Amino acid sequence: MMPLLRAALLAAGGSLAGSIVTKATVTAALGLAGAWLARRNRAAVRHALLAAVFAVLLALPAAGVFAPPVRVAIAGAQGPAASFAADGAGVAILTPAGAGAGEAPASRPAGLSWSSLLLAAWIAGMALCLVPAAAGLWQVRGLRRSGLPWREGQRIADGLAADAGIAGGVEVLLHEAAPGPITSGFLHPAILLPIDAQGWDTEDLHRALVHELEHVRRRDWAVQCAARAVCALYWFHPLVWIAWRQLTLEAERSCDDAVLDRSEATAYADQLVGLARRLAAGAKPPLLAMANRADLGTRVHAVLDAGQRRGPAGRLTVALACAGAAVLLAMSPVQVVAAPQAAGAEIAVPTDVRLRTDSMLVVETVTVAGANGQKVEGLTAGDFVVTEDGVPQKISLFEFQKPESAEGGYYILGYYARMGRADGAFRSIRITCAKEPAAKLEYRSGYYARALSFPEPAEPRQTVTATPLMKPPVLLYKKEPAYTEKARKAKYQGRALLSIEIDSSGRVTNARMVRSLGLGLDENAIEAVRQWRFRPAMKDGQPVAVTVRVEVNFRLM
Amino acid sequence: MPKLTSERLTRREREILNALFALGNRASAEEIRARLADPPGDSSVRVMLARLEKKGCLKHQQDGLRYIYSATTTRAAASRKALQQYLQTFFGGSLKQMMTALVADAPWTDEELDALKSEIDRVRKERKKQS
Repeated sequence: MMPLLRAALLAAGGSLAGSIVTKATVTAALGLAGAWLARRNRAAVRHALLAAVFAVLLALPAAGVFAPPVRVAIAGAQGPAASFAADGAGVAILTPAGAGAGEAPASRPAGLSWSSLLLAAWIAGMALCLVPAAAGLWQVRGLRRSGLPWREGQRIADGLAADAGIAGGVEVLLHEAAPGPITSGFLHPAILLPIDAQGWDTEDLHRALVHELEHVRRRDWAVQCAARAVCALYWFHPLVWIAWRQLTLEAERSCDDAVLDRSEATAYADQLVGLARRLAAGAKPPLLAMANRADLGTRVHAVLDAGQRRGPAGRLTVALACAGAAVLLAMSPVQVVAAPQAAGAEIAVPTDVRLRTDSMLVVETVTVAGANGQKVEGLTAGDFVVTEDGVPQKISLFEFQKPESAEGGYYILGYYARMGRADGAFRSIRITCAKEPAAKLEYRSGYYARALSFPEPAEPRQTVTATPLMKPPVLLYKKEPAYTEKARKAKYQGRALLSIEIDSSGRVTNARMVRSLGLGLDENAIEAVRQWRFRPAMKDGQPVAVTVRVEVNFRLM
Repeated sequence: MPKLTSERLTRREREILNALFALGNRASAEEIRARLADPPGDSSVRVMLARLEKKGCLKHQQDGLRYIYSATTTRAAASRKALQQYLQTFFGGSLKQMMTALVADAPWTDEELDALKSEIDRVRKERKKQS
C-alpha cells in the first residue's frame, strides 16, 4: 500500500499541473464528502461549503503559479526530513528531485512533447466548455432585452423584495420564451416569467417570486456563473462537474426553503411538479442527461420532508467554509517530491541514447577542403573516422553546417569519452575522411582530458553535522537550469554536483562545481543555483551559514 | 396563417400583442396604449399596430369611427409556438447553465411526474389527518 501511495503521490506531485489536479481532486472530494455529511443540515450550509470548494478550485492554479512551491519530500523510511539527509561524511546533500527534468522550455527537444500536447488539449477543452457558456450569456442578454415589462408583477415583486431585504430594484419581465420563472443578472438582476404568469394564481406567483428573489438575495447567479467558469478550467475532472451539479441543486433547495417559510409545502411541491410537467410536454424527451431528472425528485422530497432543517446558513458556517478554503489554499504551494534516495522518481528517458553520467563529450569542429581549396559538402558521419590516441571512437554527434558565410561549411563531430580516464593527460585526436582521402581536414588535434579539480567524493571543506540541534536548510525556491544548445543536440544528460554556501538569510553566496558535466551546463547550473532560496539552517534557534552539496539533474524529456 | 413567431417582432410589438390578449383580444388603439409600460405617443402606437397588421399578426374591424383590433391567433397558440421554438434554446442549449430557473431541465416522463404527484397527495392527506 505504502509504495503504491508513494508512487501515486510522486507521479501527481512531480509537475505543477499534476499537483494542481491532485489538489483539485482532494478539494472537490472533501467538499462532496462534507456536503454528504451535512445532508440533514440546511441546504444553504451545503451550498456555502460547495461554493468555498469552487473558490479554492479557482484560486489553485493562480496559487500554484505565483506562490513559490514548498516541496515536501517523501520517502519510504526517512520521512519528510529526508530532503536533508546527512551522508556518511557528514555533508548534507540536497537533491531537488526532478531538477532539470525537461521543465525548462529551452531544454525540450524540437517537436511536440507530451506536455505541450497536454497543454493544447487542455486549452482546447477549456475553449469547448467556455464557448457554450459565452453563448448562454449572450442568450440571457437577448432574452432580457426582449422581455416585456409587467407592471402588476413588478409591484408584487417590489413588495416581496423589500420583505426579503433586497436593496436595489429587481426587474420583472415577461417573455413568451420563458418556460418557467428564471433569474439572471448580478448588478441588475431580472426575473423572467412566462407570459402566462399574468394568469397565475396569486399564491403561485408569490411562491415563484419569493424563490427567484431568494436567488437574487443569495447572489446565486454570480456564484453559478463563476462555478461554471471553474468547470471549464477543470473540464476533464468529473468530480468538479459533480460538485457543480450539487452546487446548483443546493442553490435551488436553499430558495425552496425560503418559499416554505411562507407557504404550504404540498402546494409548492405541486407547483414544482406542475411546472415540470409543462416543460416535459414541450420538450423532446432525452434532451439532457438522465441524472438531472433526479434533482426534481430530490427537491420535491426535501420540500415535503417535515424533518428537514431549513433557513439561511449562519455566519459561523460561512466563516468556517471560508476558513477551510483558506487553509486549503495555504497548503496549495506544497508540492510533493521524492526524497533524494528515491531513485524511483526518475523519469524514463525516451531517447535512445542513455549515457553514463561520467561520460564526457568531446566535440570537434572540422572543415574539409578539397584539393583545390573548395569546401567539401554533403559528407556523413560514416565518412569520418575519429581516433583518440589511436583508438577509434564511436561518433555520437554529427552535424553538417551549410556554408552561410564565406568561412562556413563545416562538420561538427562528437564522441563520448569515459570520465574515468579524465586524468588531465593530453589526448591526441586524429580525424580522417575515408571518402575524400585527398581532402584537407582542419580540426583541433588534441585535448586535455579534463581532470576533476578534486577527488570524488571530495572531502568537505566545511563539515556540517546534522545533530538534533542543527536544523537543515530547506529549499524554498528553485530555478531550473537551462540546457545549452550543444548539450541538447548531443542528447547529453547527467548530474552535476555543486557545493554551495547558504548564508544565514537563505541566499546562495557561493557555488562551485564538484562534479562537472561540461558543454556549458556547469555554468548554467551555477547560474540557476545562485538564484535558489532556502530557509536558512538553524543552530540553537539561530540561522547559520552552511555549505551543502546539491545535485542538479540535467535530463532531456 | 398567422406569422406570430416566424417573423421577428420587436419588443414593443410583442408588448402590444400581450396587452391585446390581456384585453380579451378585442381592443382599440387607445385601450392598448393605456396598458403599455412607459406608453409611447398615440401615433406611434398606431404605426406599430399598422405594422403588426401588415405582418399578419393583427386584423381590425371598424366600429363607428374607431378601429377595433384583434389578434389573428389565440394567446395559447401563440405562446405554445413561441415556447416550443425557444425550448430548444433553453434546454438543448447552454442557456440554462447561465441562469437559475425555478424548475430547470425537462427530461421527465409522465410516470415519474405522476409518482411525485401521488407522493405529494399522500403527504397532504397525512397532514390533514394530523391537523
